[in-house]
Amino acid sequence: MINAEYQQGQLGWWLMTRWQSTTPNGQTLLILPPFAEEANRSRRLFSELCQQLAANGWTCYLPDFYGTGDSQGDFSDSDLNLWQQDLCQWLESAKLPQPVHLLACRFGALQLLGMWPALMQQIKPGKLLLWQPQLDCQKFLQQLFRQHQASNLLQAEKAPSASQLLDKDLAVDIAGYSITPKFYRQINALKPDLSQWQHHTLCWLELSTLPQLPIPATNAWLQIDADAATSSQKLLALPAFWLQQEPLPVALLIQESLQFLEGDQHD
Amino acid sequence: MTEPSQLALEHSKPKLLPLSIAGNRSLGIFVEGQSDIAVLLVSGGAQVRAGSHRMQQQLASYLQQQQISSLRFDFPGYGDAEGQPADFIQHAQWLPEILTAAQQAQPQIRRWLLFGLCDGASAILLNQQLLPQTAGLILLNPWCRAEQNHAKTMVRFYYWQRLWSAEFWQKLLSGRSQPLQSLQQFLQYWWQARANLNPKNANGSPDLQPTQGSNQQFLPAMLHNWQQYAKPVLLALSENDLTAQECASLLAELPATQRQQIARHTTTKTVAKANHTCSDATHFLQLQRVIKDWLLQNFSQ
Repeated sequence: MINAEYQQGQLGWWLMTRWQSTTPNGQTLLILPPFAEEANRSRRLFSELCQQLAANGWTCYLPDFYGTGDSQGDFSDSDLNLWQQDLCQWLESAKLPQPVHLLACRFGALQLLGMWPALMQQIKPGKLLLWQPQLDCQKFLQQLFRQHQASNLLQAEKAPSASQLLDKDLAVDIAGYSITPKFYRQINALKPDLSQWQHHTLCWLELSTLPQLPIPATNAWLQIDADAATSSQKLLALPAFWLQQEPLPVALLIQESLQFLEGDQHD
Repeated sequence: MTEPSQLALEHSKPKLLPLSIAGNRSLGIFVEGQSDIAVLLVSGGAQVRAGSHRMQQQLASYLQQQQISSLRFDFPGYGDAEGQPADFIQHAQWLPEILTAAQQAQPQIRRWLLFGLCDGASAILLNQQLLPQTAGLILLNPWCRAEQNHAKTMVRFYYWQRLWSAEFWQKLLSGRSQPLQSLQQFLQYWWQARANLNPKNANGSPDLQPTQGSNQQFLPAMLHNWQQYAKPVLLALSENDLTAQECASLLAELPATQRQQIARHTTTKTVAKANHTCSDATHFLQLQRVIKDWLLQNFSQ
């Protein structure tokens, strides 16, 4: 069953959506969503997964951080520190059953790495599920700026690049989302330490139509150095759901996720 | 005693409204204004209730500043809602039960307006049972694609615009484009547009054959309902959008009497340089101003 509640954060109301069972089994999942339009495109999949987990007794939480989704504020209010504070404040009062399992999708994985030390003050992490994690700050920015570059091509005069504008302390509008110099600096300042996840039970689901895992994904997995007995990195031959507005057939992603989360593995 | 700023914050807290759409659970978000007017925001395409680039969320905040309430929601199979995704023809069938639920949950609202983008706008116009319950409609770039107007719009709007774009010439000069293929496509559209130059039916209306991929004869019903609707309609068309141009072209080709009937209660405004979803902040501001002016003109009491 789905429900939601607006939480009072540092700057205003932000939405926490919850899927829960009438007979909860004490298992909890917290989701860290992707960035900007990718979050919209992933929403249906989160909902599908959470509906199935809730049917099996789980309670699942999906935040819309301040300035994103259905929360108050503008996208230009995006602030990694604010999001971390709001989430940690909520976790402190929510008193969730421990451990809390985590699902981080795309940018959510980068965000999770950034807030990991603060999060560990609030929860005992359980299993960690990654959907197509974006773990490289520069690559994240490059992908974001590519859209700006594409819209620049439509202009007759040569326009400055997104990074040039942001370096000059000017906000940049990318496909309807305002990226501020402050947020840009926060991303640039992130030093994702993959080894933080070394001793956790991980499942990394990479989606690609290529026959092999991409090299950056393999390298990042080596850096994490997770225990092979409890953790795995899998390639799923599925389309990139975060790039498509229309629903895509990605039942395998849900199936693999359920298997990992509900499977009899060590936390 | 609560601080005034705290009170203001409390007041602006949106309310969650659980909905059941064809037996599927969906969560509505009601943003409360100070008047008896509310806008039901109907998502188009596969969009979630916040809208593409949070357009509907931003619109809800803007409407609240104008003292107007709003309700946004996910159709089954999209966003947080249960169920399987369906098309806008099906969405049209579901709208009356959503509006009824909204009316029951918020009885203080006397006038419900409907806002729809793209095929959300078309869904609104398609339901004859729904329209009498509404006080007005805001249609942004309604989906009106038929073979005839699509071909014409491609020739007049898309190819003409491409000829003037730097991107086209850059691609051509760098050898990254396939000019022969483009020319072939252009000629195909030109031929279709010419072949359909005067394909009027017995009523003198354009012969509206939906394009490939659409198996519904929705356009005649949609136009009929629009014509019959006697309450205020705002038609906002983005200048830089193929869907908007197709809608404009379709309306322009209607027989004079039908066109006049629609025009009698429809205010048409162009959002200069805007794309389909008015994603640029300045274009979205323009759209907000257009909506505000129309609301003041028609619903100031």
